Order: sequence, then C-alpha cells, then structure tokens
Amino acid sequence: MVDSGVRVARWPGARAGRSSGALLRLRRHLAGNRLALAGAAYLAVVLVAASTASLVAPYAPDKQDLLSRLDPPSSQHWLGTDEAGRDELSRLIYGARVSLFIALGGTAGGVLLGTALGLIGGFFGGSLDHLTMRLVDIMYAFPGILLAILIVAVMGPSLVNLIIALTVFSAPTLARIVRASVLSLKPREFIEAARAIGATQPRVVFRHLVPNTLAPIIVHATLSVAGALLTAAALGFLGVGVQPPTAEWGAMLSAGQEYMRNASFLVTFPGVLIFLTVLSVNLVGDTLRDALDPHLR
Amino acid sequence: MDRSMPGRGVAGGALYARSSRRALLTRAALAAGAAAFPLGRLVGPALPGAAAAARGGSVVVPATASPTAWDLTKADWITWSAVNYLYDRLLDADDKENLKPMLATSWAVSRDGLTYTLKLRHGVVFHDGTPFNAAAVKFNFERHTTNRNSRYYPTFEMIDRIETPDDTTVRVVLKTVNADMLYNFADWGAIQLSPSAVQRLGANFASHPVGTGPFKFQAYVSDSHIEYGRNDQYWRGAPMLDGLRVNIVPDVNVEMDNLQAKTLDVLYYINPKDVDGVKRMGAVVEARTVPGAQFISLNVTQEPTSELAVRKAIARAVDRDAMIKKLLYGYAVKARAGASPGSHYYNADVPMIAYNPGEAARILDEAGWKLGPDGIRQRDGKRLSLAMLSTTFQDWSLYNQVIQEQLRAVGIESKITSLEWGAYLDTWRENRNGWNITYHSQGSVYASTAVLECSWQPNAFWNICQIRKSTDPQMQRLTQQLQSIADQVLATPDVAKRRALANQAQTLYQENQLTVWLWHGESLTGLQPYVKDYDMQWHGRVVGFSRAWLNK
Repeated sequence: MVDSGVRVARWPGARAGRSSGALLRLRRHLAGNRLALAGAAYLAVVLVAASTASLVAPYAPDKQDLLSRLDPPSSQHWLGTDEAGRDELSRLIYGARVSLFIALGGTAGGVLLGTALGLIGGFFGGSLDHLTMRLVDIMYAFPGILLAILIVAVMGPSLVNLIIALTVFSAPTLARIVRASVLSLKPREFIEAARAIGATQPRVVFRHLVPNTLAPIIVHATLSVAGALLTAAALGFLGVGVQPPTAEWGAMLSAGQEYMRNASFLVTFPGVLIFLTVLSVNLVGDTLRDALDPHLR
Repeated sequence: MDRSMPGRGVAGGALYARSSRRALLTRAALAAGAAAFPLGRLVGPALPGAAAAARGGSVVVPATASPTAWDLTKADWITWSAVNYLYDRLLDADDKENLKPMLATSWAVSRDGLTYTLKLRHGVVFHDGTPFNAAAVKFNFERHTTNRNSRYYPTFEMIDRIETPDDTTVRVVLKTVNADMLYNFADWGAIQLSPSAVQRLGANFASHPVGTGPFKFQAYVSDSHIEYGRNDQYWRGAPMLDGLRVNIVPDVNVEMDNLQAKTLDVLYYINPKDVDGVKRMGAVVEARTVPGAQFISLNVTQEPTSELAVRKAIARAVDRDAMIKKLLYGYAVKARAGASPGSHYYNADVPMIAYNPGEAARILDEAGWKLGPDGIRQRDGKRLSLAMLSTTFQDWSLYNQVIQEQLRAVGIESKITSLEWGAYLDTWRENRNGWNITYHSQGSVYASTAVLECSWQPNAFWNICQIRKSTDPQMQRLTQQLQSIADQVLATPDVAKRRALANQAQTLYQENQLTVWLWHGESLTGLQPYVKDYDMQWHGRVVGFSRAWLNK
C-alpha cells in the first residue's frame, strides 16, 4: 500500500500531533468544571467497584437469608436487605457491573453498526446510500424503547439479546452523524489527494475518513452511554432485561417498587445510583464535547 | 393465581345435603329468620351501643382492570368482582359450600341423575322491568350451550334440553351424568341477564347490562370507573346503600394510597407483607383460605424432571415452612396432597412430605447424581440442571428465586427464564422451551368440586404436570389411571365414594411426585371500618354489599 505522504488539515483530534492537544484541552475543561470533575470521579469509583465486585462486595449477590428479609440499613447490611434477604449493597455493586456492561456493550455495538452504516452510505452514495438511510429511517420509525422490547421479546430475554437491542436502538443516530461527516469530508483536498496518488478505497476509508470522524463519534457515544444505561434500566424495570436472580439496577428498582411502603430503600438506592451515573456520564460527555468540538471553540 | 376457573372437579357433600334432615332444619331456620328480619331492613348486631343501620351513601371498590365481558361469556375474578353487583345466579352457596336458594327456591334431581328440576322465585323483575321467569332461564343457558366461544360452553355442553312446563319451573335434562351440575347452577355461568336487553342491545349489551342484582348499571368509562345505583325492586329488599362505584386502579400501591386516603372502601388481594400496613390505616382485614393450591409444577416429559428420584429430591429440598412464615407471613396453610384441610377430600392419611435436604441428597446419591467440585451434582458428565420458568406476575419471581436457592443447597442448579404473564402461561401450558419446573398457583371456585384443588386431570386444559404428553409407557399407564379416576369422580354423586377416589388420585400424585404441593393461600381483603354488614362471598374473593351500610 502506498503512503500518500500528504499532510493536510484534518478534523481536530484526529492527527497524532493534535491528540495530545485534545487531551490537554480535555484536562483543561475538566479542571475548569468542578461538576464534570465530580462526575468523572464518581464514574471512576463506580467503574472500580464494578470491576472489583468480588473483592469489595461484602456478600455474594445471590446469597439469600429469608430471616433477614427486608431488613433496613444496619451495621451488618449497610444498605439493608432485599425481598429475599440478599445484601442490597452487594447487589448494587454487582449490579453496576451488569448495568454498565449492558450500557457500554450496547453503545459499542451501536457505534460499530452506526459507523458502518454511515460510512457505507456516505462514502459509496447512490443506491447504497439510499438503502442504508432507508434502513435507518425504518429503525427511526419505531420508538426506541418499543423496538428494544420487540427485539428482546422475539429473541428471548438474555444479556446478549439486551445488548443487541441496545445496539439497534443506538445505531441510527450514529449512522446519520457519520454519514454527514463523511459527506462533508469526501470533497476535501486530502481525500482527493489520497485518491490521486492511488490509495485504495479501504485505505481512504480507514486511514483518512474514519480518523476524521472519530471526534463526533466519541462525543456522541459518550452521551449515548447515559441513554443506553437508562434504556437498560427501563428494560430491566419492565422485566425484559437480565434474568433473575442476576442483579441489575433497573431490575432491582422494579423488584423494589413492590416494597415501597415496607422498605423504601429498595427503590431509593438503585434509583439514586441510576440518576447519579446518568448525570455523571452526561457531565463528562458535555465536557468531552466542549473539548473536542471545533464549533464550540 | 385465581386466573379463571380451571379444573372444575366434583360436586361435594353439600350436593345432596338438601335432602338431609339437618339441611331441612337449617333451611327452615333461615326462612324463619328471614321472615322475622326482612332483609331490606337489616340492622347491625343487637349489641349495646351498636349503631343502627343507616340508609344512604355509596361505597367505592377497586378493580385492577376493566371487565373482560359484561355477560360473563368470559370470566375472571377481576371481572366478577367488578360486575357481580348486577346479577344473581340460580343457586348460591354459603361459607361451607352448602347450596342455598337464590333465584331458584328449590331443586330436585331425578334418580338417574339426568334431570334437574328447579322452582323459580316469584315476582322477580330485571332492572329493565321485564319479568324473570323460566323462559329467561332457558334463554340464559342457551347463551352458553349455543356459543362455543363462551367460557361456560364446557360447563353446560352436557345439557340435552331445557323444558319450561310453567313460568316458575325449569327442567334441565342432561345427556350424561354430571355430579357437579348443582354447583354449576351456583356458578357465574348461571347469572341471569334480561333476555329482552340482550336481544335489544346485542353486541352493545355492555353499554347497559341488565340483571336482577341489588344494584343497577348507571355508567361505565373504560379503564376508569363503573357506577351502580340501588335496585329498589330487589327481591331481597332494596339495599341500604344509594349506590356503588368501581374504580379501575391497575397499581396496588395506588390502591393502598386510596385506601389510606379513604377514597377507596375496599382493597382486594392484599399482599401478606402489607397486612400490617393496611391495619395501621385503620382498615379491617378479612382473611379466608380460598379453594386452590400453590405448588411447584414439574414437567414429567423433560429430563431431568422426568426422573422420579429428581422429583422426589426437589420435594424434600424445599422448605415450605420457612416460605410460609417469611414470605407469606403465615397467611397460608401447608399443603399435604392438593386438597386443603377444609375440603371434603382432605385426607390426613396421604403422607405429608417434610423438608429434609439430607434425604433429598441421599435420594440423588442413590440415583447416581453425585456432588461435583462446584457443588452441583453430576451423572455421567451431565450436570443436574433445571430450566426454571418464571414470570413477573405478583410474587411468583420471588418464589422461584427462593426455590432456586433451596435446590442449589442440595446440588441442583437451575436457570430462570422470566416471561411476561401471557407468554409465561402459553409456554407453561403448551410445554414450550423445555421447561422443567416453575412455581404455580390455581384456584377453584368451589372446593366441593375439586378433589385436588387444581387441574390435576391429565386432559385438563391447564394440566399441571404435562403427563398426557409423556411418551414413557409407565407415565402413559398413570395417565390412563388418573383420567379414569377423574371420569369416575364426575359421575359419582356419593361423597364417600368420591372421597375414596380423591384419596386414590392424591396418593398417585404423591407416590409419583407429579407435583410439589406448597401451600393453600389466603385471600386477604381490607375494608374501611365504617362499612358494616358486608358479605364476604366466594371464600373472601368478592365482597357483597346487598345488605351493607355505612356507619359514618
């Protein structure tokens, strides 16, 4: 493969030289925004707790003790016990692992599928563009949560199917963002130059186009993690998410609603965690956008 | 579950009680009582300081969904609790399930058990002013016998013809003996609608349903509320209440809030965990053991629950006492063999299987299922793993999770698949997706018609163990044996003989561990303390207000 050797202006953040600049800007934005910093710190704590759940959780998440059913927070069970006498704190920690895995997995799937559709449509144009964009239109035609429920209902409730549902849920927006980016980049000189010196189509796409669309993808993906987290929680709440007794925040919230009068902490803790996590992801996502989006500089 | 009314079984001891001396005396006493205290003027207990009954006011009762059919060609408890105020049936039953008059004042059965003669009450009129008579009864039976889609087509399909020799006599002639028939006359299928209203309104009958009950239809807003007004012409005397309103409230927490705010006067199906809370609100809680059983449904067509040793181990690994005490707060009776202690068919000789995880482990060891390094049993490299079906309906998911944990303690692992209620029912009944085990519950309208209080018969629509689908020759023999017993029960009016048949069925179920009986649950209903002289009907599943009044 021939290296064009051409160095032309690219979208900020794509070139190696500018990556460090973007990181610097991100650090500067974070440092100047205490809320975003707090959000990032909170997310770090949740991520560490989730990834080391077996070390930090005081009990096994499925260990039942009917004698301690619906116990309020105490020195033995800091956040109380649930309807089957399971330690609520341990389930929240393990639940973070599942909820974040679903949200991140669904978003990652959405990024891959959306990017692929956007690239195909934007780069090749013509009938392929029509085909991919009509496909995206169809996906848009269904309310997102309904589409996700439909997919899980047809394929059966499981972790993998949930991630597939979130992938389909989040891909259309990404596809349009990427397509728009590609359409704006395609006529640019550096793409023309790459083609002029004989770069193959895959090289043009993966070497020149994809890096230049990364920034909007990253920004959107970060923000859609929050949406995916909420959707995952909603599906868990509706009973079409992960299967019991697996701990997952939405499912815990759903199970806890039956006990609002007897043990309100069962809805309070997962509810607060979902709220704080979504808020933190949004705060960090906003900061990331401020740092990376050239239109905001 | 109280889903609908599966498993109509057998008529009970009350069936022929009408001919006994005690029943005659009881009826005479009731008649004398009724004469001394006209029901329309009923007063509270004559205790010192007791308040006198006052006319007026209205009660507000909840329903979790809109009625599915106003003419009861479809039926479920939610519908019945919302619309029963409009209607009367031919016969009624008391708390002990002794049959008593309602729109029919007396009844007789021919010696061959094929002809039932009912004498009807004089002077009863429908809410639209048309008379209730033999022609109306014939019309109402034929609503079911000529409509295969009616929920009560199977209940009355054995009717050969209905004769109406005069205005107050109905003769029902059957093609085959059905010893449950008198209870069928006391069931929802025997409600009496106004023929002229049905013919006039047709498919729009729901817009203005007409019966003979204590309250008349006034208004209905789908998914919102139903309003009823007092029937001043009611044959038992006009109710004390001016009216009654059914609020359709799908969420139990909202119902609880409404009860606390006194915008609801009744709360049905209280979860045992909420009983104390309801009492703290000042409400009265009525508890009744309802005909029905809660059990672990085992699929005998799927490995490994097709294996008797595995089924027996499951039965001994489940701690029913702990579940009743901690999950149901004691509002249930431990089940022995499918018939509740108050039933005619309860038999203390059928062994009660005790919680004994050591015994469960021994049974599995002997069957070759040895504990593996991870605590799960294995045989020939195959793990002892069950597919557990579950649903989000009520507390069923919780029960399944607790059962799952208890089975894991003896080395049986299980994977839960939780489905939405409708999908769950289809999957369970149609033996889809290879399920092995699930918590389940079935209710009967009358205990007297069920020798086991669920759909135990192999050919029942909601059969609980899939036995008729088994290809195992031994299971096929057992299927024939059980079905033969079920057929005999239906054709046997004699209670003692039925009891012997019930004993056989219960013993076969227990010896072959076709299911794991858990408990017989209680119906828990909350009422505001100012509602007086209400009537707990259908073993506490519906509150009657024909004589109720408000002490506000």
